[in-house]
Amino acid sequence: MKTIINKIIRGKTKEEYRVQKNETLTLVYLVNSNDYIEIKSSVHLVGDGAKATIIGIVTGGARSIIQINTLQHHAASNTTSNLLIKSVLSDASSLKYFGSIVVDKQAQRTDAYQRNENLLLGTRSTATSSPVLEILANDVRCTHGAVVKTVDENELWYITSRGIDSARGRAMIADGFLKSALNDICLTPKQYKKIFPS
Amino acid sequence: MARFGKYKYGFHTPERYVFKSKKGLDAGVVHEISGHKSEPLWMKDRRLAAYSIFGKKKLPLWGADLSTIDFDDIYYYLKPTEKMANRWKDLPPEILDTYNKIGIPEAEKKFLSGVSAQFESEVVYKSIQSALSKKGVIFLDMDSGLREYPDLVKQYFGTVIPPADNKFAALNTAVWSGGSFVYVPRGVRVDLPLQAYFRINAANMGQFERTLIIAEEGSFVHYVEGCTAPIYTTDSLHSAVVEIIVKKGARVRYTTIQNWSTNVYNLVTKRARVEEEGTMEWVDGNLGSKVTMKYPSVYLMGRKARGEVLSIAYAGANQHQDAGGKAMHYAPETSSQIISKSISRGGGRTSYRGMVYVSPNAKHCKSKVVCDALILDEHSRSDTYPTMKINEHETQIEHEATVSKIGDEQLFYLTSRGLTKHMAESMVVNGFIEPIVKELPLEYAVEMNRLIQLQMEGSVG
Repeated sequence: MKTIINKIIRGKTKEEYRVQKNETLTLVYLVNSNDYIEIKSSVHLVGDGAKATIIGIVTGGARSIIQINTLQHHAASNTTSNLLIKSVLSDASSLKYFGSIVVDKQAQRTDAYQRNENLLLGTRSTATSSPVLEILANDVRCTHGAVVKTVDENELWYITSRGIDSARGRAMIADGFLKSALNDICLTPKQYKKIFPS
Repeated sequence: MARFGKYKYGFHTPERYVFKSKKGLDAGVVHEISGHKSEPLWMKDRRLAAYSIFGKKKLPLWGADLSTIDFDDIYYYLKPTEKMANRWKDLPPEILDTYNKIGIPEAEKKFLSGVSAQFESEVVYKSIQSALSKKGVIFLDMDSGLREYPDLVKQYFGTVIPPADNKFAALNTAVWSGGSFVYVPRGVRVDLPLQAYFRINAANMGQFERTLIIAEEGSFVHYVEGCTAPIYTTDSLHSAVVEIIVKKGARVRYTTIQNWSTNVYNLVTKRARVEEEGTMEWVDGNLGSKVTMKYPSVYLMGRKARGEVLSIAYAGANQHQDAGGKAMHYAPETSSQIISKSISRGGGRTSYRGMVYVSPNAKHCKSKVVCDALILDEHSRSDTYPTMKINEHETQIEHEATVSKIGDEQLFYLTSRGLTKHMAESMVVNGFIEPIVKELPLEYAVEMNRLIQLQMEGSVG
């Protein structure tokens, strides 16, 4: 069991991970940018029973351009991967997400999941999402989903009816949206603090 | 081209053409086609302009492998004799067998095999035509449409899919022949689905069909093309263009079932422009061909316009079905839905390729894309290539996809009830595609179910 937390605020990052037999990797990307960011992250599940979880928590402001490419490569059987990228985009920031799951022919009994959720707050914020599946084995379960939305008016109405102004209400919804990304992984309090100090 | 000359059914339509252009394509051939049809000058100019675009455009770098298409080894225009002279008994037993198993009516069987039951169809055709013309509906083949309504054709031809859209749209514009021309006047509802095979006055299944449908304000029409029965053809390239204009409050449904023989490259551009409160529905089934690349699109240009794409793809041995849909939201409060179901078996490959685009200021758009894929054995492959490009924040866009095999529990349950494994599998597959099949006209739905069952049992294809 290995947990890696990467904080990224600018520049280009390129990483490759290989997960061996029965190993478990948890990878958290914390991206906070008002700038140009490019992240390329590849996870190769090369050993039988390898597991990987990849979480991305992304906030973009100003005119930032955030480009994220992920690869979940299943090269061995009985492997599992879970990916969740959540972004909150303010002002004129934009996210370009390109993710792919590749399941090799021999990687039978693969379970792969990939999800990208984007909350657009800024009137000029944009999101492009392209979650790709390429599956060459048959005994698999591969699922992906992507959502692009803005703050739900009903949720906001509920909060403001409790006496909270709408700007703060939006911030609370965005905060909850991002924090829920960690719901399904186990972190020590220290690790959690590193991601969400407050 | 030898590989296309002989396909697995070994069935050839005897060549009896009144006119046949030479192999390959150059400006001379385009001149010849246009001249032969005695077309107006503007159409000839468009063909020539499109031909020069075709030469400049490159093959797409994505999608299926098209490198084996030899554009110089294709006849671009064949004018068939008035009566197809094939005999029913000349058909190979496999095809007859498939037709019988699918249970299509005798008259249709003859028609499909080219032994058209001229008399009966002609009676049906005439009665339908007179009912339609009373309402002011025009339903002709495209060549006649251009001859009889040149102004209408000139006004709309190429406005939804310009020749420069892609290489194959340019090719089609240069050498098109056949296809349908449909015009539905304001407020008219056409209750009977318009089916291409009623139009017996011209070749139905050409290589480069061009279809144009115009639905005026508040009208409704359902157009059906193709058929579930396998269509055997020696043409190796089929590249159609379908343009649809849906005006304010109108609704058009376009149903295609494609089952070309497995030597055919089926590269089709289909697009609808939808104005305010209009609705466009594509129902698209791809069973045959060697390679299909087809992404029916809806361009939602007016407020509250709605688009829907329902797609089924089945890929067996040596087949690649690269299908999907596109929803382009250019106006506020527009909505779209794309549902895709694909099945790959026996080494086949299915790909979903889709695009959802929301332009800036197209507020309160909603789009939902769902694609499910079944992989039935270890030699087959399934891909999903969706793209969502969202440039407006007040939207709600969702995409989800699942790829899996048939659940062991489902098979166990069904086999424990006494079904064989094959029967159980085909039952699960039929259930899987049911949400789309139920949108087909009844006779197509019945045939589709039987066909899938046959494919599953391994008795065809």
